[in-house]
Amino acid sequence: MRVPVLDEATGVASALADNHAAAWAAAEPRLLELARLRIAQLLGHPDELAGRTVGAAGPVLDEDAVTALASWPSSGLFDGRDRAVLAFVEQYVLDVATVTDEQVASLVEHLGAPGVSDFVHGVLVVEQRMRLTLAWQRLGLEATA
Amino acid sequence: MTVRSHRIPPATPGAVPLRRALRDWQAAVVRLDAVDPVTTELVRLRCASHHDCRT
Repeated sequence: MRVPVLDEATGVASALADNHAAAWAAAEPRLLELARLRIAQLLGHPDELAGRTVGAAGPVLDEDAVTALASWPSSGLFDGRDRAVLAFVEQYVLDVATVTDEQVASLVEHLGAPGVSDFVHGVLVVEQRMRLTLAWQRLGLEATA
Repeated sequence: MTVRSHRIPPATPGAVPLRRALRDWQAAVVRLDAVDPVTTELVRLRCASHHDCRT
């Protein structure tokens, strides 16, 4: 991602790139991809919606799941772990202050506490980066993902 | 503001490179100086309150 608005602040641009790479290295890619695409749907981020995260074996999330993502509560393509992740992510995006104890407990049940820590840090990075690029684009600063 | 209890233990281990990268990112942002310090602090405290962040 090139961010012209940060051309004069190279430390910030490189730190932004570094924490994005670190997030994908730390979190399970399929789960973070579920989060990334659901956040992109909720925030209305066309560049992120168009992209796919690809691992060594191909896209980390199959296209059927991508198609069904917006209707995940009624879809049979998502298991309990996916549902815990998506429920948490939706609440995080809509109002982080109202994430419930039950939503976090469900994540811990599926990912373990260290897994939750890394996943939530990853969601923070992905969501923050998306909001930043949307803001820059709407301000005419032409950040490109 | 409602202060919640910890939902995972504070000492829960996490990926060190990610935490280091986040720390460096936040430090780089704080070093920016185009916004005056009072506005910066108001935003920081508002975000900390909303996120129930005690650091």
